[in-house]
Amino acid sequence: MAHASLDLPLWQDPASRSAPWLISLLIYVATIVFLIALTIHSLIDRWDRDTSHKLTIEIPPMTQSFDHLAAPFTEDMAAKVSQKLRDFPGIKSFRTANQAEIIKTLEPWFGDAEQIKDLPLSKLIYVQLEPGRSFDVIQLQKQLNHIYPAINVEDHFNWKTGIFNMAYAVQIISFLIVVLIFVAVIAMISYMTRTSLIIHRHIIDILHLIGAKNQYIAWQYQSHSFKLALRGTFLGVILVAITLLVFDNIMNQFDFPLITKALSSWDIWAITLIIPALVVVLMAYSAKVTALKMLRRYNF
Amino acid sequence: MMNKKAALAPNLNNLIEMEKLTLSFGQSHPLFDEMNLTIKEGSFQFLMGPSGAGKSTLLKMLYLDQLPDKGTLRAFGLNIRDLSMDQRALLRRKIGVVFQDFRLIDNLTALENVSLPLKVQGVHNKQRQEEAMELLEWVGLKDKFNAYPPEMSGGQQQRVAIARAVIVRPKLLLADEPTGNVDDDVAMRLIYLFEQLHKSGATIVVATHNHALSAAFPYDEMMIQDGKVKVLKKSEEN
Repeated sequence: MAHASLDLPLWQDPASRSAPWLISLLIYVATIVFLIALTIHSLIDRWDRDTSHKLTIEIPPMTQSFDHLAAPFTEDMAAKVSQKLRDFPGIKSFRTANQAEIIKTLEPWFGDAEQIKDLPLSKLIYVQLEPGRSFDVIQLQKQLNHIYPAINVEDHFNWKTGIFNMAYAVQIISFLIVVLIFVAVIAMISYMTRTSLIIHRHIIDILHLIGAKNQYIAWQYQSHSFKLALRGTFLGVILVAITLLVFDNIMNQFDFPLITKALSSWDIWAITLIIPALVVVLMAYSAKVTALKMLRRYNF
Repeated sequence: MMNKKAALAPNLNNLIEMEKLTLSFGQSHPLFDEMNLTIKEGSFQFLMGPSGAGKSTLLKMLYLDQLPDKGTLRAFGLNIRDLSMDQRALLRRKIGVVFQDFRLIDNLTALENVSLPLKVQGVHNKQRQEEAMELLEWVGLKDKFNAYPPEMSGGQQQRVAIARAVIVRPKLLLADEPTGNVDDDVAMRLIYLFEQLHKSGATIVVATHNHALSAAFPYDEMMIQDGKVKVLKKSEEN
């Protein structure tokens, strides 16, 4: 009954049996790749927003290796630094990080908080810049170094650029993989349709002889491909959902809040469903166009 | 001047007009050589000739599946060389064909096969099922509506093919050796069936090599001989 509307026995074609499995695999790969690209984009975007218009001023602890820093960072120096930051153009606000914040920042690299406490820790000052206003980081660095030579102004620019470039490369590669998968889907459907037109030529002749237009025959291929795509999509989406749930569970266990937050946002899931939807539309349309082209070209 | 123009214009009373039509399939001796043929609306004709004479090929040209190499073929007043594939498809909807090998679709039931010409025309499912059922009853196969062609005998398949050919109430019905696989009694009944359609206004062309059968009916015979068609008139009414 599912094929009641088709005159051509397209569901009996050998390719029709394996097509849903192949489509589900392609949809799975394309969706996962697309999702990776989206997650990276979302993470980078969120992180960029968090670090934009921000500076971190690091005042390293006094160490043996820096003879010239024999003088410790004094309260007087701290007051001068604060005054400089208040007077320097383009700074909206600033605050000194407390010890708990510093330990939390270092935890991913140095492990247990108790052990970090015993290490000589830098002082950190978080600076918020005024948005839309140019800021001279080098001048600030120079002026702060007059107060205390070891002060370092970190504007995140260098390592942000490196990470952004890497993220863009991953996104471009992901996009190319998705495009390749779409091309593979079109090629597969085109080949299936061509083969099927040859297999069922005798029925197509009958349809023509009783007055069927090429559009009517092409519609049969469109309808059949649409059903195949829906089956393949259904399987593919289930596989994607299982993968994401497992991944989300693992991420929660290892406490990667940014990733779990990115994965749980609705817009990412909605956009992820675009891939299967596009595959369904693409398959149906490719089948119709290929059938029409073949019917016209070879005067079936 | 007027007479010349009138001679070139299609005659709408002529359903089919063939003028100086040549078809050779690349052979040095053409199958049809500058053949002229006219089939008038409302006529009933037997197309006669020995096996291999070209009866099936002539029918193929009549149902627009074969273009001539040279000459003019007009169907329903239209030159088929001027028609697109879709326009030819539309024209074929006025033609019913009973093929020698029936050409039923094996994966469709008798009912689906009969209703198929209405389906391609976009007729609603309920209406086409009702009409197909009526025709299956007419050809005595009402109880076989759900059978697939491979489950039916040759005679039953032929009747399904006839029902499919007439479901669109064709203006022109072509039958290629419809009596070839049945005994004389069934053959006579088939021709009576076609007579009923003829009386309702359809133009009928039946290709057969059975002289006894054509002799039993008062209809004209078209005889293919030496690449041409000769019409043997039996009755002035036709």
